[in-house]
Amino acid sequence: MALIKEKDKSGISIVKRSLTSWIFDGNVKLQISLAMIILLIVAIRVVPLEMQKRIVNEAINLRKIDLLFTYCGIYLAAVVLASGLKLFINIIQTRISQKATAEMRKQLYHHVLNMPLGFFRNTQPGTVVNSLINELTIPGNFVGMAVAVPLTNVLTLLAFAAYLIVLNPLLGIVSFSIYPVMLYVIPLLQKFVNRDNKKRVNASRKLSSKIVESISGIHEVQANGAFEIENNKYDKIVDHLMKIRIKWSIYKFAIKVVSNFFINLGPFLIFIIGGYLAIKGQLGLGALVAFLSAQEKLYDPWKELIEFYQVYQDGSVNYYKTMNYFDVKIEHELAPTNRDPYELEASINVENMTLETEEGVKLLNDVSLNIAPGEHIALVGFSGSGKSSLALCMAQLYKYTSGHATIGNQEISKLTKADITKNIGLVSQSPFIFDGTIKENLMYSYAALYGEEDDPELDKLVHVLQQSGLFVDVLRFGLNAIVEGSAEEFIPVIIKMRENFQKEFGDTVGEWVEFFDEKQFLSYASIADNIIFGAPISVDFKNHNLVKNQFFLKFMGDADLTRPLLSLGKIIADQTVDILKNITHDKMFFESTPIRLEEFEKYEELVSEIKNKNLHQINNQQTTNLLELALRFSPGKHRIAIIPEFLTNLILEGRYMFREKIRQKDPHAIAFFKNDQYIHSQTIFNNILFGIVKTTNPSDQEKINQFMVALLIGEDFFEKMIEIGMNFKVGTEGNKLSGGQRQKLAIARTFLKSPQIMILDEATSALDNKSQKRVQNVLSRYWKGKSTLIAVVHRLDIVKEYDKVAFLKAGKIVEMGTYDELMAKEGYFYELVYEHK
Amino acid sequence: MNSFMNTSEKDNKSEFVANLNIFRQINFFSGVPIEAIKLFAFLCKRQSYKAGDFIFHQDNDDGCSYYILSGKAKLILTKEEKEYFIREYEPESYFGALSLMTPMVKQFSLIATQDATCMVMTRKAFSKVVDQFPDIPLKITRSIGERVLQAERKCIFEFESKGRDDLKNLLGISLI
Repeated sequence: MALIKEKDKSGISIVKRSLTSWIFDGNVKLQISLAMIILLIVAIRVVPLEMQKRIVNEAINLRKIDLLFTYCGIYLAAVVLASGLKLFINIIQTRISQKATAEMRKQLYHHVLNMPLGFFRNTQPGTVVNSLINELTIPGNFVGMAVAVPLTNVLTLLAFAAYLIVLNPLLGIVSFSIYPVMLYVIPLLQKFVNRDNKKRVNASRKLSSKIVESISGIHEVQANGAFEIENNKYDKIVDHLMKIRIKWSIYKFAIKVVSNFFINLGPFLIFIIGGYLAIKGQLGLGALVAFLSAQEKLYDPWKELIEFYQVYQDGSVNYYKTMNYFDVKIEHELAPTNRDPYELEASINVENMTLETEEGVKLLNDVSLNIAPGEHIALVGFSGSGKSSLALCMAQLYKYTSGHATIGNQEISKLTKADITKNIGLVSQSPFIFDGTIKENLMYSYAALYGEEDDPELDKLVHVLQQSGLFVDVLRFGLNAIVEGSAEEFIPVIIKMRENFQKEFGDTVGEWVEFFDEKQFLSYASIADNIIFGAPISVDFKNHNLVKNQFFLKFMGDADLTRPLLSLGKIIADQTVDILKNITHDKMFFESTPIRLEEFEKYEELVSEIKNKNLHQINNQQTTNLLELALRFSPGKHRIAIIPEFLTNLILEGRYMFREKIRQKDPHAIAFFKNDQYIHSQTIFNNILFGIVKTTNPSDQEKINQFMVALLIGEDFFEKMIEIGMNFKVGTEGNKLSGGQRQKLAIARTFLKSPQIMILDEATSALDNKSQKRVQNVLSRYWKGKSTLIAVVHRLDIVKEYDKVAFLKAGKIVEMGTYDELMAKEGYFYELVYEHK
Repeated sequence: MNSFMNTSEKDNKSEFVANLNIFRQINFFSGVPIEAIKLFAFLCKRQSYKAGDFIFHQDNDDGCSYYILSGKAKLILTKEEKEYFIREYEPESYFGALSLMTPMVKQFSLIATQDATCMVMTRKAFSKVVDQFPDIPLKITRSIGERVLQAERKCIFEFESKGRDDLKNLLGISLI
């Protein structure tokens, strides 16, 4: 089990830590070396002052060139050394601050993941994102500056003060008299800055939440055309944030202005008092120069101190506001400290358990229940009856408020997360699928338990894929993959399968598949593909470049294709625009036409421009656009127009002519479809098939798949295909999978983990009847006796398979027994079953 | 068989135009504006079945409505391993409109008795059109109401004139 850190060495949770506790945390050596360098640098900084004085008083006054060179040399050396050390300090400081920020981000994230589910019901993901990304930057900067900046600058100021007071006590005291005033005024202003910074943090959270909300709900926004509603909400928050930020920035600048003003008062005092003393002969000119120059030099350390003060204030506000927000009591420890996670006996006992919300609603009310190891129990009832809540209490996702619930005689509320995950597997109602491959998702629960390095054998993966019914889908993903890179070695096998497929199944599937046959027009391929009849290797012959390719355009003219295709293009454009004008567009509307969604406006315009024109009257751009449509047209897919027979004949003629011409011009431009050659641009499936499936009837497609599977088994290529399929990328939140596939994947990952106790919360609700029965069969035949099962069930036809049925009503178990017992009782359950029938 | 070849080539009409003509004649869609009918015709798909193929399965929600273009199909009810033949459908029959509007498990199976071709509309496509023309469901509800009423009248007639007491439980369905 991977070690997760959300506490520092002293065992304090991150949300309880003070900001200053980070300064030396893991940085003691760095901070000490920083302090040493600072002492050195402060000492070095005084040197130029002394040198200035000596250059004026000794070298220039006494007209000694050698002294001038010596003092200037020392001056230069001091400046170079100070700059070098300053760079070094900055590097260390950056390291410390970045380390602190990273550590804060990690620990807070670890803390957040373990927070009770209730917290997330009231918290938008955006707030968490904003906290982790934005609000911890300034506190991290503070940690980096915490030793270096005050130490350097306070010491520098003190050193200058001491030097100047020694030089001339009166003038020294006068030039430092402004600082106490500033120390009083600036904190006053800072109070306003802090007030507005707190407001800014709140507004930023709101803004982040709003963004995440509308992006997550983008389907709903676009489907309802609710752009204005969402824009208004968003704009309002942005405006509010802008106002706060303006005020916040003005106060921050005010501090800078005040500070600058006082600093600039310094030379004024020096001139008036120092000048007077110099005239009176009580102060040497060299000393006056040193004072003036010291005033200049005081400016930087003071400015840095002010900046540090602001970072400290802003950092504190951001830090404590963030930590307080997440300071919610963690209900369960992640892992036990002085023992290994329990291997529990898979029996469950619930006694008088109640789950009450803060508002006093009893989601579960005095529930008692015993489940023996290996026993399967179904929880049924109407929605809102508490069956899901009961299941989730068992999985420790909800914390019951009174009564007892034990697994293997251990109280669930006292177990750590590690104990629960070791013994329980949960499939929730709408399982979350992570971005990545099928395999990564399949391994999720397993890897969480056994570590990411421990890879289960392929057999085991295949087994659970079969049990969950995802196997066929994975096979399909494999077949639909386009071979690249390392899979190249399989090409000869695939070519061989192609031969065998046609030999064995060619006649049977001929009806549903259009095989690549150079003598036949392919209805399910585009006209361009029909002419080229091969995979383009040269970019000039890729479909989208054809209308720009002079060679191809000339060829179309020679083959008498230009005019009939132009006419076809015009029909397609007219018809599509007529159907889809004046409606809000959806991707689905563009499946049956070669016009793409983003092109619609262009073609709408084109149609109106050429409305009353003949083909010879249209301009070059219009011609290109219409030809492009016609070349993309595939009569099998785009039911909006038809190709007259003479045109299909012309295209077939053209196919031969094109081949002849291109061979003369550029023999390597196209890889023509040949029975013994792999088509790299096509999927494995299409390569084996050497054709295109034209049927949309699922049962026909199923038959083709069955033939394909038989062939794969025969060629011993089956497992390889599954492996390729498991590398299918599922997309964000698994959105390339159907709802059923997502559920099957979630079931498979729990089966792979093979826990002693399984909790299925309507885990098969998105599956069709057949798949659901299959999963239920696996549960009853394979898992009964092996794993204890608690299943929230909404389809009553599978309830018979369970050892026990508990019927819940308003948070109470009102009936419990075997299926037959409950039916005989003719109570609630009986009624529900009867009503269902 | 590729339907594009058999319908369109012969009469030189695209499949879309052929679909459009059919949709205009389906009772269920009377009252629906022509722009919406065009979208229906554009979005529906044709599917071919061999004799013996299932067109849809009992207890499954396929979310589709069907119009038989050619061939015949029988409606079958299976209960407790027993199969009941309900009736046979001829070309130009249309059914499943309720499935377009709401999730609904099919209570029967439909099996092609001859090679058949159907025009199939999915719930997803239907809802895309409804997004554009929100009062379509209202128009269709009228047709559905009409149909339920017809069925109810028939039951009442059977109940009253032939003394079919077994129908009593079913009476009142038009009051939903």
